[in-house]
Amino acid sequence: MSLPEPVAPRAMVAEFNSFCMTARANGSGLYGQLLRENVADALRSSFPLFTDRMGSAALEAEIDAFLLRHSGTRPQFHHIATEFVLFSQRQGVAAPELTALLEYEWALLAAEIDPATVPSPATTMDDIALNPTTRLVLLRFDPARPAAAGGGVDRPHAIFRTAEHQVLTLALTLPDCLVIEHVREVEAVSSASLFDALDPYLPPFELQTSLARGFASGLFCPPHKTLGDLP
Amino acid sequence: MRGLGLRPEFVDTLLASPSVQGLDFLEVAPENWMQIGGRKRDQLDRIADCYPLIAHGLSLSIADTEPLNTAFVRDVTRFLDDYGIAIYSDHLSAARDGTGYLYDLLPVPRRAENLPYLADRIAQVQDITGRRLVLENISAYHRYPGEMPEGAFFAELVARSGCGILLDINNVYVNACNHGTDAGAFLHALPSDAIVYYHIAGHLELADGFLLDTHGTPVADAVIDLARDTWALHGPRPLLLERDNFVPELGALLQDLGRIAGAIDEDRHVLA
Repeated sequence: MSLPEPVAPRAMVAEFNSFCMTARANGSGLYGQLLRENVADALRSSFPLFTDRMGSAALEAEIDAFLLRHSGTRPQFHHIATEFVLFSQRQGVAAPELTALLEYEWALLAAEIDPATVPSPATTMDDIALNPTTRLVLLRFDPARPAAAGGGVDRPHAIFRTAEHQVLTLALTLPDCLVIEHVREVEAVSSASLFDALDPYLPPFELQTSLARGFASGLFCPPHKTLGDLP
Repeated sequence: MRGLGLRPEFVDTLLASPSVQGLDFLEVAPENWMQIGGRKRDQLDRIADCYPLIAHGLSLSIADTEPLNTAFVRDVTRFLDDYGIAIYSDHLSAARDGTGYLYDLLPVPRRAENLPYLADRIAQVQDITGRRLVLENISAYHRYPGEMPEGAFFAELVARSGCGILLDINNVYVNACNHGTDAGAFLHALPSDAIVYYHIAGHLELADGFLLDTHGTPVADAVIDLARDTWALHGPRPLLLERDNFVPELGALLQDLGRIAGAIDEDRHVLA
């Protein structure tokens, strides 16, 4: 049985919240500065491209707004990055291409620290699962040159971590997208079943090419469980 | 016993030689490692095979005025259990107000009427973790009017809750300098048997003489002197050197830790 929830004295609540509100609102006070530096450090470390493109003055204004308006619910300091992405999406404060860059860098970070264990590379392509750290994103820029992010056409990409802990961004073809969609639905699938299921939509050669590329990069991997164990 | 806070800057060096002379334990911030996979998880698993770990949190926010984040405490507990960590410390501070988390260690008003609430909060955490909560005295840059002396407040909280103390000697020094309080009086007020381990660190002195607890400079001689007084008063405990900014190479850090430990206990060599 858990202990009853303690209730803070009203005077303590008022006194502490007043102190915090001053720190949130006033960037010139010492705690106001410290809060802002903590957020800025976390953003520069997690989102180097975004913060560089945004520039110092605009970033400071964003951090001021973040501290004043955002209700952070994740206690860990390293979740400042996630909280800032949520704030930015809700408020729509940054230009669309900057928001896209922010979301791209967040996906890189999320794949890097995803708690899932990535299976070792397969020796065969008999059983197929999607790498459990995969994030599917639409990018309007070339991830090889993200600093040049600008307007363009949305193209699908997969961001994932390999068994050797490398984070990769892979541009997806239409066959890749069809395979991913099917594999995600069923969690894992045998190669034979996949060929049967996609036969109406994809020539076998294109499917074979997509699987070979996906396995070579680590986007596809063997399932954690044997297929017989899956529901 | 001597320890360091585990930093990404020297994880690879540690992993390259599993046993390092002069390093008896490592301190990890559970928030920076729990629910995280990939390279970091792999590194921590290997480090945990070689060194005893102490968990030193940043985000418990034990003294805030919102309902305790029990989901977070349960996550921390799983982390402690997974790595067989017996000691869990955090700060006597708050990181959250009525709006949400602020991501800093903020001081709370030290008033007698707030003690029962704080003791109940500590009991909640101890109930979930199954461990004695160990709390660190913070560097506080704000004083609420008419507060209790820090030592008396801490001692009373220990008496009510049974929590342990992580005594940060640099924070004692910083607070005494910034607020004109008596470091010796603070130290004398603390119950020796509640002190679990010590932190020591460097601080930054601003142009106007104000001190900031930055963990980014070598430990000042005056802090080492205060540590020697602490040793004489409360006795030896495990000593951890904190260095979070401008982190030098592991060898240099260990040399510094050895120098500090030797200077603190130069007569008895208990730390050697």
